[in-house]
Amino acid sequence: METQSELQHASTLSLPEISSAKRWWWPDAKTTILIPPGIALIGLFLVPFLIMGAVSFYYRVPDGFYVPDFRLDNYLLFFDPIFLTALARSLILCATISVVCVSLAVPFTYIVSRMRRSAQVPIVILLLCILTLSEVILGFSWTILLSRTAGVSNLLVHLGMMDRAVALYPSAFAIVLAMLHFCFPFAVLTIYPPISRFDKSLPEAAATLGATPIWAFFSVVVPALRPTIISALVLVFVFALGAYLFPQMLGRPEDWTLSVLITDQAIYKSNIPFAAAMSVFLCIICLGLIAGITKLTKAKGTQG
Amino acid sequence: MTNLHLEGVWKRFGAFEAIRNVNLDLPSGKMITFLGPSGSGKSTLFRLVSGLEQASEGTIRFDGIDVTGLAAHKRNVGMVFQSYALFPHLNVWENIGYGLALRKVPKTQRRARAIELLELIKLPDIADRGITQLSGGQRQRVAIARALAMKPQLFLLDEPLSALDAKLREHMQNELCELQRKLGVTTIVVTHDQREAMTMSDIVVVIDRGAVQQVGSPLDIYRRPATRFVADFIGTSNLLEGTGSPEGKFEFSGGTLKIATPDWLKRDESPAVLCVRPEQLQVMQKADGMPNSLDGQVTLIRDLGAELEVFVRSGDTEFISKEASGVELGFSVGDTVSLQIPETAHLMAA
Repeated sequence: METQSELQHASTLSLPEISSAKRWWWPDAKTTILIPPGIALIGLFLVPFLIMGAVSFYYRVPDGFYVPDFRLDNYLLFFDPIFLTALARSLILCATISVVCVSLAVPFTYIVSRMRRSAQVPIVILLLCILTLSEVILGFSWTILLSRTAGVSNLLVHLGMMDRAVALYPSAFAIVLAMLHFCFPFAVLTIYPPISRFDKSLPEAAATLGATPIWAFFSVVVPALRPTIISALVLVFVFALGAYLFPQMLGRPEDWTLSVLITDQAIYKSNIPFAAAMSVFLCIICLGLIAGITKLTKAKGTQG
Repeated sequence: MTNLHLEGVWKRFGAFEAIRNVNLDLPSGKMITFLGPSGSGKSTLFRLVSGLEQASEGTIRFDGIDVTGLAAHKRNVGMVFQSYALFPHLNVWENIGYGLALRKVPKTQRRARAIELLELIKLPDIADRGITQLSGGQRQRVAIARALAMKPQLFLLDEPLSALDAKLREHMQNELCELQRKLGVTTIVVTHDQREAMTMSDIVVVIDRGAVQQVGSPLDIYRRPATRFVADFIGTSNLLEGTGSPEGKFEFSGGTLKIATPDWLKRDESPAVLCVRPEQLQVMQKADGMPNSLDGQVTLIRDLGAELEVFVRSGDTEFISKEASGVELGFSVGDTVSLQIPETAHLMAA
């Protein structure tokens, strides 16, 4: 990569008459390419976000819309114990999903990446199939699977492991299950490239030094893949934090995550300023977590 | 110190036979090389010894003890990988102490052992460095130290010098030999570089197409190759196909030569290959009536500074001869010359 950019640099240097013909404000080729995505990013992401930020300080007219203002009321609502509990639950739920998902995905990917190529391809295709299903379909499938009338508990009753069929949703458990289903392919696909590139002689070296395969996995493979694992954790966590459908469909109100609470405020309680304030808050939490985790990896990891 | 014994070892990957009936008895405390071209099965054989692969058939013994069914982590071997395989999340001394940590050796002792080994490999000051801060040569030495930390029964090195530049490689060859002599540990090096095998080892095991072609000292293998493959793979040789007879004659398309009869050729005439090393072959100005000589035409003379290569065509065979450089040759390209073939040239069964 470095040599490539050096080469490019060298080629621009060798053509001074073209570059001198340009006006100083005229962007070069590399910058030009960045203009359309730049406009899209600013116009479709930054501007709406700033508007949302502004709205979060507005005054909400009771039983009405909102008027421009500057007040911190919406943010002060956070200190309500009900909200704080919801926030804590939401973070714990997302952390659980993230940890469980990645701890399943890492060994899974590790084993798959060591299979024959002909065995790997169908598994990857299967994972991609899950991605083609929409969240709505996944959610409804789980409502059926976990229902009292047609769900898996009936199967357990047949097998004699349960006395009578029960509804396994709405519950936090159901949310975790569906979210795992949804996030697992993403987690696998993120960690697949680094794991398949992983030097197979590392666990072998551990073996010749006396480590059992399982211990070699935990003492060598996992630490060596730490940056990869952490980025997968962050990815799934942010995914879970942003998920709205699963908690809504499969959870009780007390299991609702921040995203559901935001929707609830914005759409059903038409308290747009409070919803905006919560969104800003959620965004800050996400950024803070990502920044903190990145810093932690850089500080402790030997290879960044 | 351990002697290594392999008996009827086979390794199959599906229908492919990577190792075919290998029998080896390698003495303790020696520097042993597995030499062969890529794809010859030398690495597979090496992995069978280390326990990273399990043999499909046969027995492997360390010091008479059957280890065939044991996985790598239950055999006491120290291995240096081609990629060095140092653990990136551990620093130098933690890498060296990894095996000791598994055996619950206290930290202070682990560190002491690591420092001791770092002194052995002449890198005493890098104990606390990260792996990424080391150069290629330093990484290799650390990998060596890590492999030796457990006082292994067998010290295994997989193409240890292939990633180093030429100068450093030669230096490391000497150092490895010195280290091996100092420790007296039975050492196996896998290599495809015949020069490396010749300079480093006490015993060379030549492997091709999954089978052992020859086992012997480097000089033995060079002077008395057992098969055509060995003669061709190790050093340069002029190979002539023909028929050998017990009376000490070798007949081929270009004539008849007088050759010392080898042990295997005591009874009947049989097809044989004559191996004449370039330095054995003498090229002289043409003279009639010379015993054991062939006539040929000089096609090319290449002066390499240290030595001179002379290519001579005789009949349908191209011969190569090595002469000392800087000496008056007495012939030039296009001249007809005599090729003198010594009686001591090695005759092997075809």
